[in-house]
Formats: sequence, structure tokens, C-alpha cells
Amino acid sequence: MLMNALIVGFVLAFAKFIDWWGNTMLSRPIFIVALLGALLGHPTEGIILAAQLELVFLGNVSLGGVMPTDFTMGAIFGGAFAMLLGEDLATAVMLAVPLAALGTLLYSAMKVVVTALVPKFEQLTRNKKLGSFKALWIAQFAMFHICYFLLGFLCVLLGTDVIQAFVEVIPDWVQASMTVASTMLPALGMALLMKSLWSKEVCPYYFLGFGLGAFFLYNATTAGTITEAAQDAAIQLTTTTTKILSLTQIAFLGAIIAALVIFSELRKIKEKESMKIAAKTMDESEDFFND
Amino acid sequence: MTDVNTVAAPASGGLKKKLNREQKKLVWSVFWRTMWLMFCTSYTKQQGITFSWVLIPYLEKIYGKETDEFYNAMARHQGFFNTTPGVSPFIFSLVVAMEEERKACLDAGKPFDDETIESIKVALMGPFAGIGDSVYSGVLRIVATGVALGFSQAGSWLGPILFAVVYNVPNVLIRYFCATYGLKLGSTYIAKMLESGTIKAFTKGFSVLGLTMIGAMTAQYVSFKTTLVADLGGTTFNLQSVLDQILPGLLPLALTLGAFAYLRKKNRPMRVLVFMFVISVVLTVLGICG
Repeated sequence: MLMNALIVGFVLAFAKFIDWWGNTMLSRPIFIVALLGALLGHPTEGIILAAQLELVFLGNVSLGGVMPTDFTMGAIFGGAFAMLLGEDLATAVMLAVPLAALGTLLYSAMKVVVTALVPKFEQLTRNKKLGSFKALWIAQFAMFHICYFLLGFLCVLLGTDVIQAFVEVIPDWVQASMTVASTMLPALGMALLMKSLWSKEVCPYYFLGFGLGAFFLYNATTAGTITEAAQDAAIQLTTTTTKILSLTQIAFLGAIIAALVIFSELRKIKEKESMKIAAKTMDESEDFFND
Repeated sequence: MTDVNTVAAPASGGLKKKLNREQKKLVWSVFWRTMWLMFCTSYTKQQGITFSWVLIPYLEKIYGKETDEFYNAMARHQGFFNTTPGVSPFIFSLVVAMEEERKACLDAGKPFDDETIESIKVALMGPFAGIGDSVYSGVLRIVATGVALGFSQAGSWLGPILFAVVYNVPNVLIRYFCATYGLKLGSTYIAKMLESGTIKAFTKGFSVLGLTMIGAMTAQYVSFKTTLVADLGGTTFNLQSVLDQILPGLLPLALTLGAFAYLRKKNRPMRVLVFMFVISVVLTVLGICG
């Protein structure tokens, strides 16, 4: 358990670091929970959980310094407890969503500390102490990451038994509901994303994407069995409905359309400018004739 | 400080300008130092304090170590600053070039209005955050997630690796080119670009791609399905197959649009979250889903 606690603490601190350094997005559940799974010794399970948790938190992005919920912390704790206790996605989601909300509170509290340090930074600049300025800058973010490491470490070390007891008393219907909820939650993610991109001019493209993703289906044969019917033997085929276009293929088509839109917008700008120039020369020639 | 004049060329410039060796070194230095921009974000100044931290070596080089001018410049660069970190190298390159120009002006005995540097920063951070956020969060992240999800759901290692690569190769390229073009283009050119609306054209294009992908993901990853099958006098009634005949993916689309319509009116994502948990419990208990 000590080793597991160290791993979770390390992954949480690392996720927080890599979220800021270079903004690599590696703190997204899809990557960080997969990494966590590999370190905890549940590689395949980790990757699948990572994909499911990513879908739950898909719409949560920190924009303009505002973090709606701390999806990184929620996903890491949800994924870690699910893997350590041998539980499934329903448990991961049930733990991840409230923990993500709690994580935001913690993040806000830490940001208040940083905000309190701002006058100190300004004072050091005024007093011409560059060395202290640099040292304080390093100290504040080192503290920040040590806090997250300790949080992950202590929660797993001390909290696993509590969580296990909690998970064991949950009735089946709650488990089933959580599974249903985990298929519905991506809708909230999509809605949050749409809010930042939606405008009247471009909204039809959302429905175009939906159509490309939803309407093109084919029946893929997954299995076949020979049945002994009354007259003669027949082959019974099992089929599943499969989407023809993958998201990568839709992204390819979408990029073509986006390029066409950009070209037409740029052409409009050029036309407007040449109109302006034309109007200007007209004015000048009129002045000439008026004189 | 003889090389100050060779590095500085902010006011004039253009796409085809070649950078000399000194400038190329500066580009790489800006590229690496801006990686740290998000550390020390505060409520009052956001990235303001780190903005001055990034500039330390450049200001030391321009004004000399431990000089009054250096500390004045540091203080000038501690104002509120907030933009998408990925496109920030552009603003940093531009600011370094303008500080060099300021030094050259003062050395030549000409006046230089310190406000111009601050106003360029303030003027650029908004539009750059607009285009940067739509590229990074709206397009790159969505495309990378879309490419990776299928592999991840199947439990393949390709998923997380593809996600990291598809997102970060463009991330690194954008950072490098932003640092380069900040030096090349100069302030005048940027002002022109903002005025003519070129940036708006690109933002619109990125919204188109982003929305198309969100639509496709609504179709493929919001899997809200009913399991209700009723026996009505000999004929079986399968609710899901009826819904599929009306329009494939009708429920996910309705759910997403409903959530979106609510969020547009009232920005309360937590309420939507709780509501979804509640209806999933109700539908499961009633035997319609699950």
C-alpha cells in the first residue's frame, strides 16, 4: 500500500506539473490515468478507464485561468481507487465527480496563497533583490507540487479502507445508475465545449459533424454459427451495427471544410480592401472634377 | 551592448525577413522560458509575475545586470497578463524586440514612450487568447482525443501515445513559430493584421472544425440508449429501435442540445451534472435504461 500511495502521490504531482509546463495536456484523464494504470500494475484496465473518464470530463477545460472542476485530481483518485479495489467504471465515476469538485476548492485555496505572494514579488523588485525574487518564484511552485504529492500519498495510504467500506455498502441499483450516468455525462462535456465555439454563423457545422458520425452505419459480421434447421443446415450470422466513419476520418473532412471557410473569409477581406481603395480613388477624381 | 542594434528591428519587418544567429538563439531561449508561463498564476495578475520572470535574462542583457533600468523594466512587466500560453512566445519575442528598440532610442537621445510596450501587450493578449484557446482547446485537443479514444477504449497503448503526439507536435511547432514571427513581423504588421480581420477569419475556420468534431463526438461517444422492451399483445415493442428509425442518435443529440440550451441561458454546469445523475437513477429504477 505504501508503494501504491507513493505512486499516486507522484502521478498527481507530475500531472499538476505537466499541466502547466508547456501546456502539454498530458494531465487529461486519457493520458494520466493510463500512466497511473501502468505504474500501478493494471496497464490495460488503466487505458480503458482513462478513455471512459476522459469522456466524463471532456468538456472541462481550464480557460482564462478558471478551472470548472479539477478533472485531473478527480480522474486520478477515481481511477486509482477503482484499480486498487478491483472495482469498475461505475465506482471510478462515482468517486471522480465529487472529488473533482472538491479539487477545485483546493486549487482555489492554493491560488489565494499565490495571490497573497504577489505584493511580496513587487516589493522584492522595488528593493532590487533579484536573487530573492527568483528563489521565491521557485519556492512557491515547489510548495504547490509538494502539497499535491502529499495529498495523493496520504489519501491513498489512509483512505483506501474507508473507500472500500463505502463501496461495499453501495446497493446494486446505484451501481447500475452510475453506469447509465457515465454514458450520459459526455453530453454535458459536449455542451460545455459548444458554448465556447457556437455562433449563429457556424452552428450548422455541428449538425454536419453529428450527421457524419451518426448516420453512416453498416452491419459488421462478428460471428457465424451453423444451425441444424428442420429441412437443411443453415448458417446463422451475428452482426453488430458499426459506424463507417471514424473520428479521424471526420476530422480530415472537417479540416477541408475549415480551409474552404478560411479562404472565403480571406477573399472577403481582400475584396473589402480593394473596394475601399476604389472608393478612395473615386473620391479623389470627383474632387478633381469639382475644382 | 553593441549587439543591441542588430537584434532589434520591431517597427519594420515582414514574413520574409531572415533572422541572424543572435536572433535564432533568442527564439530558442524564448521557446524554452515561456514553457514556464503558467507557474505562479494569481487571481490579481494571472501570469503577470511570471511574465517578468521570463524576461529576466533578456532585460539583463539589454539594460545590464543589477542596474536601475533593469529593475524599472522588471516592474513595468509585472502588470496583469493573461493569454493562451502556447501563443505567448509571439508576445514575448515582440516585447524583447521593443525593449531593445527602447534602449536604442534612449541611447541615441530620442524619447521613447514606455506606454507603447504595455499597450501592445494589452492589445495582443485578448485576441491571442481568443485564437489560441480555439486552436488549443477547440481543435487540437478535440482532434487528438477523437483520434485516441477508439484505441484507448479497446485497451491499446496507441491511445494515450497518439493523444500525446497528436496534441503536442502542433503545440511545439506553434510555440516555435510564434517565437520566430514575433521577432520577424514586428508591432506595425500585427496592428495591421488585427485591423483587417485576418485573425478573425482563422478563428472562424477553427470554430468550424471544432464544431464539426464536437458534433461527430456527440454521435459517437454520448451513448444514451434505452433498454425498454415491452410485449404488447403478441408484438414486441422495442423503444430504442423505434427511436433509431426516427433518427439514429436522437437521444444523445437531444440530451446534448438540451444541456447546451440550459448552459447558454444559465451558466450552471454543476446543476446539469446533478440533474443527469438524478435522471439516470430514475430511468434505471424504472427499467428504461441500464
